[in-house]
Amino acid sequence: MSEQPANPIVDTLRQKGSRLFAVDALRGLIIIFMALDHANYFVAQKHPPGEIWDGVYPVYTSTLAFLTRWVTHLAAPGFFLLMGVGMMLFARSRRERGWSRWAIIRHFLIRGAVLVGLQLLIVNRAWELSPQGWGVEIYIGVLCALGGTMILSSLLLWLKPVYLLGLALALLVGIEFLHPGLGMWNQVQHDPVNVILLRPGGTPALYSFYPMLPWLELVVFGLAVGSWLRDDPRKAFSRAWKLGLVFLLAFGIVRVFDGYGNIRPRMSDSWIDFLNPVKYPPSMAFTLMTTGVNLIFLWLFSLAGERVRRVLTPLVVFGKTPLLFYVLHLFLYLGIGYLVAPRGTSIPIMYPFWLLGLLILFPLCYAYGRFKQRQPVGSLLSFL
Amino acid sequence: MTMRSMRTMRERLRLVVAPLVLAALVLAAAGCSFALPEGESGSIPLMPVFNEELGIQGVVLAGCSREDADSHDCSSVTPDEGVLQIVQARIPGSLDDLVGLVMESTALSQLPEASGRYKGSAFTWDLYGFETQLKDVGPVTLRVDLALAEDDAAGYLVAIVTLPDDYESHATWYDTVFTHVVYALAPLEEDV
Repeated sequence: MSEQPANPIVDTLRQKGSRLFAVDALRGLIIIFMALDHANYFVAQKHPPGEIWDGVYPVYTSTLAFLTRWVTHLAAPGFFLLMGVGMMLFARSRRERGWSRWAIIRHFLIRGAVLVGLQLLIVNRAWELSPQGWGVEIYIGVLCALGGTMILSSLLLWLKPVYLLGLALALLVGIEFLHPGLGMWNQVQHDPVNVILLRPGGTPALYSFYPMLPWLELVVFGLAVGSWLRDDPRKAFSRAWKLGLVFLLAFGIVRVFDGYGNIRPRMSDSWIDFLNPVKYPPSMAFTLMTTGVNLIFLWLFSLAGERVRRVLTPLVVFGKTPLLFYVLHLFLYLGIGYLVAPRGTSIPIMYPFWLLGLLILFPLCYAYGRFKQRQPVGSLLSFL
Repeated sequence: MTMRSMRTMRERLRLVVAPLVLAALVLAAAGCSFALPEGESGSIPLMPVFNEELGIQGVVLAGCSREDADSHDCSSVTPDEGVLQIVQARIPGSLDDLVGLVMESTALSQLPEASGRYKGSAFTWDLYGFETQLKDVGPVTLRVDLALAEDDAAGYLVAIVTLPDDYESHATWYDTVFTHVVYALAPLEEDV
């Protein structure tokens, strides 16, 4: 069979389609993992407590409990990475349409503020209704960190990828220096600036799992990946799997040596504890492990042909409406938990309820996605 | 309206309505189920402890209360609120001195054969498991999981003490706690 003559327009459209499909599908995948985590919290009430660098930390007696948690670790770092990717794709496309730099920055300033507002005004109400109790007055959660890092990184959109990579690397390596060693853990002060910017923890008045700076590295790295995707998707996806493997190898090395890069020593020599690095804040080991896997998924999704893409449509539907999904799913699983299992369930029993939540959310996300698509470019909905 | 657009609309409608109907049915069915199995959590929260008096650091179960220089009472956080004491100690001298102290406080005449060795973060430990009575507790048989190690200056001990029935009911849980407490025990790190 002879090869079709190269058509640059068709080729560009195909590459663009593949780029957006892979990004949306990965976002959709991590969204459903996130939903599993929150079903575990609200419905099963089996979410491991703590996971914080200098405080309570979980060890596992059950492989299923661990894997149920582990797979959901891909979500938060994936969101920050893909937010960076999306910001760069958006900025470059708007520049081509004639937007000024300031207009783009202003867009992200407003969007970032909206995310912070949503966390404080709406999302925190769901956490406050947790069946296990809450007890925190002001909670700095993932939307605050996404909003804050969006605002900070909007100033970096015009850096070349090589500088972005340098900055991401500096943050990855440097953040750990700002966390005191084990011998000083009992002297750590949780003042508001630290809690919001640097070190998770806090007091009942102000508590954070997501201080901004430790997560900024992933957004900055995402900006670089977005820039590669815009310039040459094929090369970018090829880089993704290679970098993914390098990250996983580096994760293995950091974990084996169990020193710098882990923030907290391993809890034992079991395979579960090997794969259970500190998430709050994301230790170097955690970032390498999760981003390595996410980059490989990104590459795999880029390979999908038409038939596979059709099968993966639900992921894309969720991936295109992440904010709506996020806000709705918390209240939905909270409601399911109150309705069917006020005292929690076993982990296997929780799984059907997780799927039930996805089934309920799918048509809503589908309808909202189509509605959003029909809105003009400058619509207010573009901030959501 | 063309046949094609009607078909597309029908497909969209099916895409939106079918999952909602299915979800409503499942939810209704779930509402009818009376008692869902609650199961065990599958995870155990541990918290770091720093003992400046004895010069050691490690972990204990979150929620334990410190009783003495070397022991924590964790009864309120066990699966069935059973008895659980976690002992972590550093005794200057040799391992033989430490074994002597163990003999003094139990009804044992000698330590049983070690059940294995375990490499922790700071030491390689000899592990023992046995039932005994403790001299200052009275005629109650207790299950003891014991780990012993030494360095040039001191002997180190980790023990978890529980009732045999509690241990039997939740052996994996107690083993997980013991393993992790032993793994983490180390001389206190200097401030960095």
